[in-house]
Amino acid sequence: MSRFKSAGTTEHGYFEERLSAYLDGELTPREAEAVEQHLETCSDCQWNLETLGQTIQWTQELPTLTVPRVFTIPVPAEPERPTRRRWNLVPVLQGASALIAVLLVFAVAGDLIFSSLGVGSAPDAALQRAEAPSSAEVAAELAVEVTQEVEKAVEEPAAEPPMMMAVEATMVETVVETVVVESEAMVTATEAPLAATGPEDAWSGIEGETGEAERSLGTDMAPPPVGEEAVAGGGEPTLALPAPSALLSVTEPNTMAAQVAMAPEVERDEVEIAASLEAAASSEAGINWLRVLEYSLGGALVLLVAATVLLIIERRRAR
Amino acid sequence: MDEQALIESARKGDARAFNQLVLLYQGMAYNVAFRILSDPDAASDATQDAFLKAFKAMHRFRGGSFKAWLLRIVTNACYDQLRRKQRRPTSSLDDLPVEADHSQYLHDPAEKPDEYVERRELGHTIQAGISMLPVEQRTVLVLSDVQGLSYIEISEVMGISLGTVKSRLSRGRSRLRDYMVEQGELLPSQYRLRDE
Repeated sequence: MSRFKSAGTTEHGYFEERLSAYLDGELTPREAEAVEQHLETCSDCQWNLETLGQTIQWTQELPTLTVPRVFTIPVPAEPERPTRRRWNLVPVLQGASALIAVLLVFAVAGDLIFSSLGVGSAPDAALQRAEAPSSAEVAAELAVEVTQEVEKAVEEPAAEPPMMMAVEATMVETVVETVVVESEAMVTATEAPLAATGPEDAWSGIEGETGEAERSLGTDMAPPPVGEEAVAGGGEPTLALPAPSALLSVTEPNTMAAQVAMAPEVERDEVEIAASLEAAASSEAGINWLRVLEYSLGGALVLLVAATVLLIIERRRAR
Repeated sequence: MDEQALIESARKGDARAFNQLVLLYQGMAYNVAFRILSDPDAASDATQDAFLKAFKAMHRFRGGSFKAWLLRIVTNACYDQLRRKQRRPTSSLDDLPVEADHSQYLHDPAEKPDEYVERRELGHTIQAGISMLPVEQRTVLVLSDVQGLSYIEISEVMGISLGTVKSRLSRGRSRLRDYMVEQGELLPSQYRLRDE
């Protein structure tokens, strides 16, 4: 029910609908120009334009109302401030425990592997250590046999003149010294392992032999050995005894020759002993290092597990 | 913190940042709601509902005009209030719209008391005319002539085409103009529209 003249014609209605947009400047220039041309001739649209403009102005002048209250939304409770962030150490400790456990397994496995490898070297070394005294025993036996020969010579009636006996005594003493020197060399070659079992006996045997040889100097009536002739005829006795083999052949040619023939084998054995000892020493060093690692890892693992358990208990109590 | 930073924080769920936006836009939201609903209580409820819905929907805000996005929520909240009002017809004086705070009319110290009364009367009449409009025309008219939004902004807020905005606004203004002419006898002479 409008008391105002509405669009009586299609053209009037078209322009009347555009008066609002025309007031807002929302028409294209062409549309605006057409509206203006229509307004020049249409009094109804002039009235419409005037009253619409007045209504818009009044509406725009409506006062801005103050809000009756504040419309802020309720803020959730003060968020917990991360004053001190508590790191959860349990997973860290568990992870560290697992890592150390794995390392410990590797260390034990390595120890076992080293030990299994050592079955071929260390026992050999031990076996050779057990055999090593036999080399010293060889020297000791040599000394004992020399002593026995000397004693046998002492027990026989002295037939040779004192001068001859003196020369022979000197020779025997030199022989004993040579034997001692050779025993020393053998002992030096065998070193520590020999010192445990053989060397003392060997040295005592040799020394005893020397003493007995000295005692027999004045009464030795034994026939001159092969080397003795050279000594008696040639001059200095030491020159007549260049090698132990010659001395050994003096007393008991057959047995001593066999024993002297063993000397190179003994030396070779001694070299092998030394090599195997070095291998055993290095193997033992590796095993010892692994043992230290195992103990360290085991201790660390125990500490970590204990710390983890204590931490879990503390957490549960705190809850 | 500028508005864009507040919007970004509010999108991440920062209620404090969103409340800063509320303080910026609550006047606009309440005025639109009141002009659409013509009821201060319903306008307050619609405004509060709109901000709560806006906060919940902030993560869906994809940029653009936050003002337009918020006004769309406000107008929808107003429609919800109108639907509630239709289900609960007014039957008592308590349900009648009460006068809003007209203290804003006193912003001109030089204004005489009688002029103030006349201007307040005009404001009541205009608001009454707006409330008589169909809700779609009312909303467009309020957004355009009360809030000063452009046609494009109105089309964005209401999700309608520019042509629809033009037609609804034109019809709404014409209806309001007719209402003001009809009420001319009740208005002061300077506020009477010249009858054709």
